[in-house]
Amino acid sequence: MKNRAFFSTLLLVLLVIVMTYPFIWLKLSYEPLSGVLKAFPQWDRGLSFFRGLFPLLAGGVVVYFLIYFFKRNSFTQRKLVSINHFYRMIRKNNFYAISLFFCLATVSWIAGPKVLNVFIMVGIYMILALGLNVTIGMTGLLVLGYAGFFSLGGYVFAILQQFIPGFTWWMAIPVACGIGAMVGWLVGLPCLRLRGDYLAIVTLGFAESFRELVRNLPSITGGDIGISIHSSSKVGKMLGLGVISSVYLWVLIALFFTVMVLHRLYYSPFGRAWTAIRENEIAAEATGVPVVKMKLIAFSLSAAFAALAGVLYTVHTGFLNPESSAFEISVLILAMVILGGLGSIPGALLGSFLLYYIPTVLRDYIPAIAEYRLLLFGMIMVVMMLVRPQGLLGSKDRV
Amino acid sequence: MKPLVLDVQNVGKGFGGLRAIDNICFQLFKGEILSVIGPNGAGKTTLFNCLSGFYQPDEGAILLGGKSIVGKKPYQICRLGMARTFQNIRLFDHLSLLDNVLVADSNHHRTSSWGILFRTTAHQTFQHLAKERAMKWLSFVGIEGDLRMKAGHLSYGNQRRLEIARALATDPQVILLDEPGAGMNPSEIGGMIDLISKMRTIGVTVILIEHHMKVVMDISDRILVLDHGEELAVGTPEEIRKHPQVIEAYLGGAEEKGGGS
Repeated sequence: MKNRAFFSTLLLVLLVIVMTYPFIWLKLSYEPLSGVLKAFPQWDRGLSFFRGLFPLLAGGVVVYFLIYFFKRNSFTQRKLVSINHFYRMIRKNNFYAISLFFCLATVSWIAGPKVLNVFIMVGIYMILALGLNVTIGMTGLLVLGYAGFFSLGGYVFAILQQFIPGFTWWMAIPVACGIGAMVGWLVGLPCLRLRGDYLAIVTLGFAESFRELVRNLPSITGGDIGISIHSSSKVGKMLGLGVISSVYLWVLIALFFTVMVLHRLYYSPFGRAWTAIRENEIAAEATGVPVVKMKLIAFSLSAAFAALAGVLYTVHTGFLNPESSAFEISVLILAMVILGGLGSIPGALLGSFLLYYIPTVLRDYIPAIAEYRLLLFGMIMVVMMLVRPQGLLGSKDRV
Repeated sequence: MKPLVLDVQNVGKGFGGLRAIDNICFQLFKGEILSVIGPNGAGKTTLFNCLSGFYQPDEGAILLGGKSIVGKKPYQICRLGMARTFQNIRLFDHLSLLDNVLVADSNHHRTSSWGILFRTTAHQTFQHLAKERAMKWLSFVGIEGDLRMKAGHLSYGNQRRLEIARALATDPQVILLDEPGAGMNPSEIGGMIDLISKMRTIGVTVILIEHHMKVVMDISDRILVLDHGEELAVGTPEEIRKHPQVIEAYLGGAEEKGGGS
């Protein structure tokens, strides 16, 4: 194929292999006594790493060629098939969206529990990134304590199912989302009326205060130990699948629901008002946009989606403890949104996928990754701001 | 006698010890074009900020269509029918031309959240009509070009026109134009004069801050002169041209032109 796109992709694959060479293909051993540093290539370790990524790469290649063959005529020779294209295609035609849903749903029959676990967590983080995107990306308000609402949603579910017999997880969703939205409104109310980035610190304070509140009410919340979920409130087996597969399906449904809702809001008067506030708050106010009210709505909506993710997480792991509102989680979600591109829905999806899937897969080969996670996320954010501030999928002007 | 659109009574605003504007009184009648002129620092933009709700006047009353608007937020005043543009163009730079104007559309046209979420036909019709209204305003101000272009990429003249289109799209009774001709060359000024005159034909009343005397003398029905925050004179262009205090303060006194000997 005399096609620059093909060679660019090939180059990208080679680049990935070269970049992972020191970590995966090479084993270093240092003898402190003699001061000798030796390097041993470990070919099979590298191969098994890529074998683990193989289903993903294969799927990506298949999708790439499918798009290429169907849309061949509308591409110029110079364009590389981009994820934005893929997203736009799904957006335009419901048929593509539904078939994508079924493709992803069939994974629940094929894959084993370990893979499903990873995908479930990816799905939950995608919902979190999408929710945060509304406040940070669309409306331009910085939030540093997003995990507080995530934890709030989880605890609403956990506490209610502890005290109300027969309270199931899907009953918890509207309750948790409602409480999340209300708390979001109350948290935002004092600071969104002021100008400046007060919301960032106030949400951080909220997350930390919530954690302390939970730790100090052990009779209701189980304190440091946390709460376990009764099996009666958990996800039941459906369609002949096991429990994990069912959870995966529900997370998938929740994810598609989230994308659909946020996408439609984005291209509506709401979305235009939010982006107008981000671009120029004073001009928005002068053009008839009720700025404070719109900011509150955006923030409450974000909080509601975080609560939804919290319920899903709690029902998946069957357990919740106060560390779920930790600053690390807020930073991770923030990094996902920034990496993918502020204000971009496919960006939030891509960013959350990359920042969860890759560290999880690498963790088996490089134990240090788990320890240096935060350092890596910080470095990624700094590099992104220097090299490509609009994120991977943001447009060049949206900075 | 044309109906009274805006009644400004004894409006004053101070910052710390400085009185930015003091005892401003004037009335605005439907369909007229009132220019506000004066040296820099005279309080013209402060007056606009008080009228549009960005500042709260310390004393005085402002009645829009008979209703008091003092103490209302800017977006409420916009919805009541007073729109404004800004001296240093405030556009939504990364939004498209169409989106810039569509933000204003929501002032008087609403759609339901149900329609948004479920993409009902009612909502699709609404979007279509909103787009048509926006395009109508864009052609009214004379902007040509790709509607999906980002506002920040427009030429300077077109950016000013876009801001006016956005203000007009809120369906105002009164529009406050803050130096619409700033930074324009003489040929562009002619176009701006035509645009402002066109607003009269759709029943919009205009208050204009401008330094280009050609624009002011050409299209104003009346002129309000401010100096050091105080109202120096109000009158027709002929009256103002001959007004001795105005000439001394702003238009250029004979003594200054004489120079030293």
